[in-house]
Amino acid sequence: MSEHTSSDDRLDELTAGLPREVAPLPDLWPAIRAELAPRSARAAQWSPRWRLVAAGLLVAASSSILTLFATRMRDGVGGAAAVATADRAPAPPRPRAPARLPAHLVVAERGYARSIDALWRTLDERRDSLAPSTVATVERSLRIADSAIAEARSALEQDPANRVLADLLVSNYERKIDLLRRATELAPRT
Amino acid sequence: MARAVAVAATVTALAAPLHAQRKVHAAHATTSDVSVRLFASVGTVQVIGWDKDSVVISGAVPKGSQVALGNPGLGATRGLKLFVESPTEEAGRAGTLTMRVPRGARVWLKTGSADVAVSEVTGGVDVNIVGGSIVVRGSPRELRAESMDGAVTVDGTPSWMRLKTATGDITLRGGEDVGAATISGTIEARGGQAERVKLESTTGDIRFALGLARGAAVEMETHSGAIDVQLSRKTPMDIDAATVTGAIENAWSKARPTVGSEGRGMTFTSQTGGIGGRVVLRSFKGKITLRGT
Repeated sequence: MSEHTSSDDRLDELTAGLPREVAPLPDLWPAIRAELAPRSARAAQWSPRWRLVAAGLLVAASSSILTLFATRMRDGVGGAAAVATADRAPAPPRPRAPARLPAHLVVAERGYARSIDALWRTLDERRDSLAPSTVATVERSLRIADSAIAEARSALEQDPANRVLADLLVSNYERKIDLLRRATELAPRT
Repeated sequence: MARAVAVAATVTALAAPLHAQRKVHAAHATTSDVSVRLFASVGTVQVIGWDKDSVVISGAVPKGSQVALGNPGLGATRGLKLFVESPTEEAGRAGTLTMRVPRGARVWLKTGSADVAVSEVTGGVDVNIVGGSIVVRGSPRELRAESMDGAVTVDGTPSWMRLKTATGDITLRGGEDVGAATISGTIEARGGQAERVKLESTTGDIRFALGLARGAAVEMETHSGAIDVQLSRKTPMDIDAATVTGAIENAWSKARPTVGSEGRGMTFTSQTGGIGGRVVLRSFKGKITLRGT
C-alpha cells in the first residue's frame, strides 16, 4: 500500500523538474559594491580618530592597573620589609598578586548581588512592619554574614585556585541570601 | 466625688489581669492526612498528634484578638486554615493554644515570638517563629523548622529535616536526611544515627556525635566556629577535613594533619574504603577536632 497521495506525486514531479543549482544574477555585485563603498570611506575617515581614543583609553586603563599593581607590590614588600627589619622576621612575605576571583565566581557574585539587592529592597519596604528586636537580630546576623563574606573573598583573591575557599565563599553568600529571604517572609509585627 | 470615682476606676483596672483573655475552642472532622495551616500570634502553641480523624483547637487568647478557627463542615475536611491575631505583640505573649491533629496530618504553623511544642505527629511539620523556641518530639516524615533567635530542638529522627536559625541554637539527634544551618547559633547533633547530614554555620560551633548508617554522607562547614566531631573508631570511613587558617586536631586516629603549603591552614584525610561512610569537614578559621569512641 502506497502512503503517497496524488498531491505528493504532483509535488515530486514539479521538484524533479527544477534545476539542481541556480547561479546568482551577474549584475547584482556592482550594485552591492556601490552600496558598500561610501560606508568604507566613512570608516576609513573616522578610524584614526577612534584609534586615538581607544589608545588613550588603553593607556589610561593600563596605567591605572599598573599603578594599582605597583601600590599593592609596595604595600606587600615595602611595608613588610620594614616590619621584617624591625622584628627580624626570617623572610618577608611574598608580594601579593592583584585581586582577582575565578571567572565562575565573578559571574556567581553578580547573581548573588542581584538577589541580595532585590531582597534588601523588599526588607526595607517591610522594615516598619517588623518588631524592632527582630530587625536588630536580622541586621546583626547580616553583619556577621557580610564580615565572613568579606574575609573569605579577600582570601580567595589572594588564592584564586583554592577550591575550599571558593566553596566557603559560596556557602556564606547562600546563608546570607537565605537569611534575607526568611526575613522578608516574616509575619507583620513579629 | 470625682476623685473617689477615679480612685475606684484605678483600683478596678489594677485588679483586672494585665491582658484579659477569652477562651477559644473549635473542632473539625478531617481526613487522616489533613493539611492544617495555623497562624497564631500567641505565646505558647502545642501541637499534639492523636489517633482521631479530627482537629481540635482550644486555648485562651487576649481579648480583642481576631480569631478565625473555621466552621465545621458536613464531611471530613482535607484542609483547614486557622488564624489568631492578638491586638498587640505584648498581649499575644499571654495567649496559649493547644491543637490536636491526626498523627498523619501536615501541619504548617507560623507565629512571632512563641514557644512551640510539637509531638507525636508523623506526617509533615513546618514551623516558623522569630523568637521563643521550637521543640519537636517524635519523628515526622518531613520537618522544616525555622527561627531567627529562637532555639530549635528535635527529639526524634525525622526522615527529612531542615532546620534554620539566625542566632538560635539547634539541637538534633539524627535522621535519614538532615540539614541544619545557622549564622551564629550552635549546632549540636548527638544521641542517634544519621545517613545524610549537612550542618553549616557562619560563626556558631558545631558538635557532632551521631552514629553513622552504612554508607553515610556527612558534611560540616563553618566560617569561624569550632567543629567538634566524634566518630566510632570501629567503623572504617573516609574523612576529608580542610581549613584555610584554622587548626585541625586528630584524636580519632594516629595520622597527623598536614599544614598547608604556605604555612597556614591544615588538611587531614583518611581513606579506608569508606564503607562506613564519608565525612567532609570545611572551615575557614574555626578549629576542627576529631575524636574517637
